Amino acid sequence: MQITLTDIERESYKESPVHSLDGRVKILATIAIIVFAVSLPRMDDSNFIRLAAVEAYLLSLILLARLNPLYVIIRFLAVLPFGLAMILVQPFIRQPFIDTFTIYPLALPFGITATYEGIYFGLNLLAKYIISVTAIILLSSTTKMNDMVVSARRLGVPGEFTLLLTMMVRYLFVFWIVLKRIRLAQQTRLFDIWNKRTPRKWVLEQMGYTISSLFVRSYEQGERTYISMLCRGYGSKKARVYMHRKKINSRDILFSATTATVLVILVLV
Amino acid sequence: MTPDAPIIELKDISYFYASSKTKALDNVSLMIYPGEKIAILGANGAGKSTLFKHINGILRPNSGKVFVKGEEITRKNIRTVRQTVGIVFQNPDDQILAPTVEQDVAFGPINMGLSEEEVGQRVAEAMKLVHMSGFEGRSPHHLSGGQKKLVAIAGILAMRPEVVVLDEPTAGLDPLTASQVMRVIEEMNMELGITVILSTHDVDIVPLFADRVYVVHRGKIESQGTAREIFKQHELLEHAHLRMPRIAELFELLRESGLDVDIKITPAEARDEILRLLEMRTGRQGQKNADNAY
Repeated sequence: MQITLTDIERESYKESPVHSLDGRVKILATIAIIVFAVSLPRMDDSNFIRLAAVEAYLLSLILLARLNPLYVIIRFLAVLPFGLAMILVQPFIRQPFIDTFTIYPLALPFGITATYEGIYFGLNLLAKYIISVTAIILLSSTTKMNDMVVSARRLGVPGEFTLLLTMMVRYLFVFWIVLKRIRLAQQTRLFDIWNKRTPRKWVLEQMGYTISSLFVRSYEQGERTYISMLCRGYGSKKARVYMHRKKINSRDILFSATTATVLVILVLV
Repeated sequence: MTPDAPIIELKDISYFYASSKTKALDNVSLMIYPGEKIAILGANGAGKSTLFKHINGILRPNSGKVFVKGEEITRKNIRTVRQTVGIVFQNPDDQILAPTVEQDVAFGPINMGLSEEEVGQRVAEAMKLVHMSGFEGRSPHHLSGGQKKLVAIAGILAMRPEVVVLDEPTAGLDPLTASQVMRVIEEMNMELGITVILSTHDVDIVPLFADRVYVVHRGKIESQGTAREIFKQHELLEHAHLRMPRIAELFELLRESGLDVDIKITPAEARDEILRLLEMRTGRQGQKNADNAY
């Protein structure tokens, strides 16, 4: 099973108390949680208790948001290898901020040795990584992409940047549909990357053609879109994201206060 | 009614793309007057889209001149020209660039430097004109092809142009949606007085829409006139890879079958002609019956 853009969009369109929160509040809470996690001491026993408490808080929000558990797990597993690659090397390197190392009794080739300190630091890193990824999954699954961009603008992110981001959101979906059409057209002619009757090299070539065709199409789309932008007066340096004024309501304040209280307690404990 | 001064004038323009040796436009001249409904009729690759890109100043001719409201298009007045002449592209995905309908329709007015209030007002007004009020918060990829086309039109109407150029507005739409789009185009001409120029190879919609028709073939204007005048020219239509409207073809067949009919090109005209024929026949039948009674 795989998670696609459609799945992420479907989850973000659900209705729940978390979904209905203002995007600004959710972005700030996510940033606060990530900053809290990464600012904890590099290696400390108390880290695990604190981070477990934050993870419990995030999981309760995921439950409240009625996100599909399988979707959350798959998204988490999909991102995990990127962090694991960084974490798994830690036992084998000598971190400059550690004074003394104790060799872990494990026989490895080429004179490679693992250390207890390295393993401990790797575990700290893993815990922080899990918190950050959970927070991001919660934010992106409970906030529509465009709402995130508009909220970022409301928080003061420069207009030029958010305008580009809104276009990126728009054309991400356009190209997702294009890719779906290409794959459908390939399937109608029995193309399957796992088909054992076709040589691997040929399958890779076809995948390469698909990716290169998407690149060419995106380049051409860019040209056509830019022309249409010019036709609508782009270039006046007045372009910005159009949005309504939105007030923070009592539920947003309650969520912000709860998140802040959780973090402050965990800092003080 | 056609006032003397044309709102758009193309004088002997020629253009060729760098990738091609043949001219995409070859000595094209045309004049369009305020409030007119013009159809540029031509087969695929005839040069219709290239012609449109000149009217909006996207392309500059290799030779010849383009005038909008009597002023030649230059770098200095290009922004005013684009405000006066709005262009609706064939593929709405080329034009709809924001993740919500409302944000997209607001794109043009924002570029015009209008206040937040004015932008909101124009967005609401344009959405109402295309009968899409209530779709403001929707994502474009959740809309049907016809709805996207209407949003693209709204994006141009929000800039309050005097001329709207539509490239193949009904291409790829089902008949009902195509009629809906054409009705909106009619309304913007009738109610707002906007000059409408559309390109098409759909010969069936031309008689219903156009005051005047230009036939383009291989970058040249082959003929111009009313739809009736154009669809009388069988050789021209064949030469330009076009055909008569289906209704006209039916009347041709009726004529070949020996009926004394005029060639009609719209459903309303066809109905009148058929009624006339029926009346003639019942008249003859009545006369026959009366004769037999004697």
